[in-house]
Amino acid sequence: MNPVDQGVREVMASVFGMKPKNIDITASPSTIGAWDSLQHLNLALALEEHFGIQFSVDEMASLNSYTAITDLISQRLHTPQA
Amino acid sequence: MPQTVSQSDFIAQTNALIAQGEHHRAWVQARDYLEKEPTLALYHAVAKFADQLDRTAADLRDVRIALLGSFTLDPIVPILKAQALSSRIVADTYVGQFNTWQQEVLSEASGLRRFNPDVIFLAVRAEELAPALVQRFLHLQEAEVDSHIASTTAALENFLNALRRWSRAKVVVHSFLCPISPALGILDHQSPNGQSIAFRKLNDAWTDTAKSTSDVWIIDCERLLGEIGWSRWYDGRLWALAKMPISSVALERLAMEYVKYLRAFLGLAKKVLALDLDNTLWGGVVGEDGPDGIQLGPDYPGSAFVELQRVLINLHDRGVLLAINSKNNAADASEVLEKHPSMILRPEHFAAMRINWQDKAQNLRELADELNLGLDSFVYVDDSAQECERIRQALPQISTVHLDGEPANRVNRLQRLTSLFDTLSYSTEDRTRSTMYQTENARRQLQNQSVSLEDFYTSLAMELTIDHLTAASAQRAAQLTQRTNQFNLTTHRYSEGEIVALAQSDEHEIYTAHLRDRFGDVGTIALAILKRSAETLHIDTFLMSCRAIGRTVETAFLTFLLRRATELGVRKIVGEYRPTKKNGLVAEFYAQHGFHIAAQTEGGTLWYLNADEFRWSYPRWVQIHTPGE
Repeated sequence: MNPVDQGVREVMASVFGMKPKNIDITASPSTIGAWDSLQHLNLALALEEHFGIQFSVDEMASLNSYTAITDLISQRLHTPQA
Repeated sequence: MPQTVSQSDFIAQTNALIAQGEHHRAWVQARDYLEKEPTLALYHAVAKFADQLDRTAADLRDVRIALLGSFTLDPIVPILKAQALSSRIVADTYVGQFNTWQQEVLSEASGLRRFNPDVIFLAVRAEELAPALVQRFLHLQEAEVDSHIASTTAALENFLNALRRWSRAKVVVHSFLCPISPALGILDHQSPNGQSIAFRKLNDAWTDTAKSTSDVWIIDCERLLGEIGWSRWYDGRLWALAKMPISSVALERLAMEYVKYLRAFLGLAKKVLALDLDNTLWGGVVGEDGPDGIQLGPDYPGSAFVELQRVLINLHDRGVLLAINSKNNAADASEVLEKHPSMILRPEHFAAMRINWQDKAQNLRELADELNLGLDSFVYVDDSAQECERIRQALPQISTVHLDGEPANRVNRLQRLTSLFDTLSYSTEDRTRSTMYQTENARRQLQNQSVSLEDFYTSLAMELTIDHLTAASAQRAAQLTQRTNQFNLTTHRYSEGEIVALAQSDEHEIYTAHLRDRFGDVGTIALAILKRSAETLHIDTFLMSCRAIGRTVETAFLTFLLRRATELGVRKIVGEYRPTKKNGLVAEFYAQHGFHIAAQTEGGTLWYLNADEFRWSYPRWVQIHTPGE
């Protein structure tokens, strides 16, 4: 598993109180009951800290599925920041 | 990036320990891991452990915390819960609806009232509560500034008055932060019409209002902001997204400040700082370098150790007990302690010392015995990673601090630790505490010389002065309820405000006992809170400071209570023993004094003594002064 997937799983598992292995690529607010708007904010903050990046307001709002999160983080880690 | 693998391993291991019923080990592991790697993800994980740990097995305290304010504060919850757990506190939290703190306290049906908090943190900002002082400040006349300040403090006053109608909860209130670029720029600070002055006045008035109600404290947010810096404190994105103006770094720092209050409220403040000597109090090894060769003096690196000692002597002056735990020849160490010209700390500043070649964990156990204090009230500081690890393994209840590396940076690190000793009051008892422990040593020597125990008691020439609670003794009385763990029958914790309120109620009587002996003043060392009814005198609190243990003072004090019961004409006196991890010493206290078991209660055992059994005399070696004498 690549470091982005692994990191996202770890952070999501901690924030939502789940086991990392129970988080798969279909994860979203509709599959994870604990994923409400408050936990969404908590998740965004924990991901920022974990990966050492900062999301914009629009990006934070767009992090609404596992794939959206991993895509955005991979892109941010591989493109130099403006 | 943190090491994710070890973090998930940590979570799995801790879950396994909990599943095996190893709750104390699980707690120790969580505390230690959090100290090494405090990340947001970890706070979430540890916050979830808090709810699963067995309170008794892991020796944890429950507290109900309401977080109210004028902005979104919810993301602080996992951080606060995890940090509180590190200090043995399980926090049950309630977060108020967005900016409804004034309504919640008034409405009888509010979530806040149903939650019934023990502690309330009130996080308000001028932006919401006094927007005129922030937004178009230069439009305001001086009188308008004053009236905005008055209406802001009135809001707090109304809140506190309404709260006190239904709650004794302790309240901790944020102070206000002046905008980073005040209205008049560089002129602002020196202008009588500046925003800086307006905010200073606002904060002064706000603090006065808070202080006029009992059990209300103020957090100086400017100091916290100063630590972190504006650019890291504020986060405009989070304000835009969630009406939360501050960053996760600021939340973390705030949670840390909240926990300092929780520790003080729950009587979990540390009391003893035990210190290594070589490469801790001074640079170098006295056994090898000699007293003249160690690093301690006006020039670096010796100057860094002098500064460190200045922080330590401040702790001593504040009432923290300092102790030495060092592997050394006692003679070498004494030479430095007594004679080195640059030592700030001298032998009289230490309440107890172990300078020998024994195992340091064993030394710490002995120090705890000698000082009559629990090991969990100890902090131990050593420069050796190996010694620290040994203590962590052998005595996980001690907070062990590995202080090494650049000597010039150690002062800062030590200063952060001082918050472990934070308490809510400061009295004359604190200023002289260390001296009292030293005279205790002299008493012990006398005890060793005495032929019989009665001879020893008599030779002490004890004088016990019992008095009603007074305005002057209320602070010390509250402190006794908060600090006394061992000789404490019920361990009810009271703040100064609560004690005064009890003393003013018709049904309560509160007595303090002050002890002197031939070695000097031992201080106000015992407290009893009594509740009267027509038939019964109920002992709500009976406690004694550990420094008075073992000299029959408790019997003298209890005898006084029985005499008081006779005066009141009650049929019986009832006392309760509520067991905790610390107070096993007094499990048989009432039995030893002839009481009978009345009933088992949820929290302990009730004991009683009938009026016809109240025929005791004071121990003849204690001279007693009673109120009104």
